[in-house]
Amino acid sequence: MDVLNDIIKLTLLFLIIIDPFGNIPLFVGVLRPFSVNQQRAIILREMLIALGVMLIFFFFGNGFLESLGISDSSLQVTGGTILFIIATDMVFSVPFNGSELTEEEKKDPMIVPLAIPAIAGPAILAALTVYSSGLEFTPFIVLSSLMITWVISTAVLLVSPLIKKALGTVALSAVEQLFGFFVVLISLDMIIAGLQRAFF
Amino acid sequence: MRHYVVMTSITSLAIIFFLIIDPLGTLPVFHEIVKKKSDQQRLMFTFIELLIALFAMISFIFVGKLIVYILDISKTTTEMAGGVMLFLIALKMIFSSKENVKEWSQEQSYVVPVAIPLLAGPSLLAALTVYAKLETTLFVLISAIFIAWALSLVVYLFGKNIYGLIGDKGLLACQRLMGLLIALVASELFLQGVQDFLGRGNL
Repeated sequence: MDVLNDIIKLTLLFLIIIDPFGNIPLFVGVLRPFSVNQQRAIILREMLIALGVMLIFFFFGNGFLESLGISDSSLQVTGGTILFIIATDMVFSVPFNGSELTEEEKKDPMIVPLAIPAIAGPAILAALTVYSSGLEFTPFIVLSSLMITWVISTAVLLVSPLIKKALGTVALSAVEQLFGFFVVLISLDMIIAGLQRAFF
Repeated sequence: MRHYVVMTSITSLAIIFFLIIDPLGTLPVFHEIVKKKSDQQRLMFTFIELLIALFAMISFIFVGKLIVYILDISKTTTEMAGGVMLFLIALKMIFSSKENVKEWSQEQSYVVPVAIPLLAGPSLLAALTVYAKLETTLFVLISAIFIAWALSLVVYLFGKNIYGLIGDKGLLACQRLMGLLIALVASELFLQGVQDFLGRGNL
């Protein structure tokens, strides 16, 4: 049952990093001009692109990093630091409602800003490079967790118009702040694990 | 074996320098400047700007060596300071939105802004100073910077196609990924510095 335990643990971590709930305001804002069916098609397309990017990074990111001579400890420290910055932003920032987007981006949000950087952002890519080293979890566990996370995130985002209607903007921003606090904990854990690997 | 080590350090240094030069991130400004020029003019402009930039980069190497020599900084300090500084550069690349294209592209002269500071900027000078201390072979440094420069030249020559293919936002995404890689290099440097200071570690 260790494998199942690890998958659940990693899926939770990935879910918190990808943060489908926190992305709802952005998705709702960007997709406002489209009809519901068009919105669903675009969300699915963007999620597939994001999955492709994450898989590419999982399989080839590490080889590239090796050629730069980057060790696992600095991966963890960097990933943790960037996560920490994103987390503080999540806790303290005003919820993003998508109103700052320019007209041009509203036409067709291909790849950016939804697939990259909202879903396949630096945080999840850093996390994937950390876990692709195979030190903590086997590739099978990481890939299954990623797929489960992807399915859940896609499902959450596909019903996002309804979620927003039910929770309201205020409750959504509260959820995002809570997620931010979780990410602070996880990021510090990453940094400390990296420092421990480097020095102890 | 020695030969192999030299080759890998050239490759990894070339990648690091290419990431710091960041031709993809600066492409929108360059595109805005050359937009009104004819194909022939654009080609001329690109070559001249890049040759000036190459000259500046090579002189940066010697300036870097000189700075390191005059200040007589230890390897530990260089690694730690370089790590922190590169990390800040990386954070700027990851979290900033694009540079102010309109403002930058007002300048129409040679040298400023494309050759200096877009291509050969303060970040590159700082990085070259750090690596002038860490990598003592002049040959390795110059080869690495030349490879990075050549790659930037290719990016700028096909700038119009790349820009048309992925657009402003795509370039921003590329810049963010490059920033992430620089952050990794920076942490590695910093941890190495701390390790040298403590006299222990397992990197």
